[in-house]
Amino acid sequence: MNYLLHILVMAEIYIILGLAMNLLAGYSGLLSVSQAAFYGIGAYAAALLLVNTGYSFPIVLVGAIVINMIACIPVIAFSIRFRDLFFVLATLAWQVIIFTVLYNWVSVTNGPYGISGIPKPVIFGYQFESLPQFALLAGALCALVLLFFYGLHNSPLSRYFQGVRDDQLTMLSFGKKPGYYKAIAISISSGVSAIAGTLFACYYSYIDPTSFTMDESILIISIVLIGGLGTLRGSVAGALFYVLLPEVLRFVNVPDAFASNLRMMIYALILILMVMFRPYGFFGNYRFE
Amino acid sequence: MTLVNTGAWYTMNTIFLQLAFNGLVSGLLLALLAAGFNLIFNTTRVFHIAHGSFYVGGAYAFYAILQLFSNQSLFFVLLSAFAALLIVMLFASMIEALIYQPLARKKSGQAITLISSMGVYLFMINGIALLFGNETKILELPLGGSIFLANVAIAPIQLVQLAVSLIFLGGVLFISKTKWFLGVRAMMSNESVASVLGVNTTMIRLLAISIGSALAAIAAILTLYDTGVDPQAGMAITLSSAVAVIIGGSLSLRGTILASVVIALLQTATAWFLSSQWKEGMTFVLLILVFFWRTEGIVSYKMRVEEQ
Repeated sequence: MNYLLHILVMAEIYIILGLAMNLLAGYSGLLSVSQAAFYGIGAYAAALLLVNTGYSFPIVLVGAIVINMIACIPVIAFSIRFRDLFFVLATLAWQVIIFTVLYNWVSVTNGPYGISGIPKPVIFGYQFESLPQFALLAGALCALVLLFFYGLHNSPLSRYFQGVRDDQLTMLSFGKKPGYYKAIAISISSGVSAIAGTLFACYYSYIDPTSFTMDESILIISIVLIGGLGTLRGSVAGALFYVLLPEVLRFVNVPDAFASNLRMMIYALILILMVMFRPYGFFGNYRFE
Repeated sequence: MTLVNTGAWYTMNTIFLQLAFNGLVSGLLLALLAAGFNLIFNTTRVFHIAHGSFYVGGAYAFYAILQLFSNQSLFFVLLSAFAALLIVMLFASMIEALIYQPLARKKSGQAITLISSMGVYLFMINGIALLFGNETKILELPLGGSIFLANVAIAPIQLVQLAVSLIFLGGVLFISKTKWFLGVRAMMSNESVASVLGVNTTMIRLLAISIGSALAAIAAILTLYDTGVDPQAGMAITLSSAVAVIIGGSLSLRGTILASVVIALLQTATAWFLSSQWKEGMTFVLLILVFFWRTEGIVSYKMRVEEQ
């Protein structure tokens, strides 16, 4: 039972991350490789606030979101300044720089040793101590994020994002600045990633920089690509697929030593096949050219 | 990078000389990789993230083949190196024929090929880790201790690295002056027109990706004798070489080599004055600075307006 709940929590975290990535890659057409950096900054902000200040969970969550929205300003600058491959490279650079800072700024982040003893969330005196309670909390936050993105999907703002993705020149000629909408999309994406980061930090009660590497960024991109760009059910399906794949491997009795590598190999193979034969993913309505 | 204290006291001057020498050697090694990346990037237009996996793959193939022989004499080392290069070239051609070529035929853009390359990278790195394990593989060079030249310690492996990388870089520069390379240059500027005019683009792509990957494998084998190679080392090395290609002005081989040396000097200096963990971060700070102030790179060709 606990095992199923663990999978549920992981799925909820990855659904949130996938939705945040989808807003950039699927709606706004920005292939950002710095999603793990957003995720990491959110996790570290929440962990540091929880350990050092002792504020309650809701305040910390809001704080982490605000910090993340401020920390994404360089990525906004990149998105306005660069296009295509150069944007990818700039965000890639940002990802590596953030990882280096998390790894080396020992006085704040405790470097490679990470931050331990992150308390479980307490909301209005009610403690989310056990696993079922935590899964419930994560589920509630995940549902909120889903609801938020559903509203966004149906709002006019979403049309502007898609305008940025499809034709920036036309946007400009209608008097809408693409840079403005890119900034909104990136801030929202970064803020939502902070929710996933906070949940991650509280769930494991220990974080270190190796959870927020470039590989994690590639993983989050592939989740969205396999699920499908531009739709909500795409991201959800991609995240569920990623989290449930190792469980399928468990049934065929793969030895544990090989399991993680084999899982990534199968996953990479599926990514390549998807890119070649089904660029829309499971449920996408947009694909990269 | 180690400074062996032999009783001589080091002035600031010797330290700078030592850093410059170490930076130069690792810069030339990086230049091998970056030249390979440049060839692949310019002919296939694929941002070849998987370059690092061929680097790691070359080192592990060499290691595995060398273990087959009881005797590790120079002949067997060269034989294994040759076999490793062949394996790497074979794999690279397979990737090109099975993935990049079909994608190019569908007129896929850079985003899609970049993603497929990420997939190849993940697949190969995890495959290597599955076969050989995650530990760092390292080999000892059966030569004597360091040589001292004007108080600068020179390890024998550094001399080998210097010589081999200079030979191969010279070879690449020589190839870039031959008539055959004119076809490659034509392809760099416009692939469809080049193919209409009778340049065999399929063949050139195949050759470029195998030569580029072989260069990466050579750099990997040289590193195997020095600091060792582990499966996760691939990403950092690809990124450094990609940065060298971009900073050097992506069309120019000489610019790439120059930028590689600059990056390696920066990394060596960072490792000495701060810590080796800051190396990558500093490389990318350099990349962002170059992006903002000189997008076309250090060495750039003048482009016609419609090409920009």
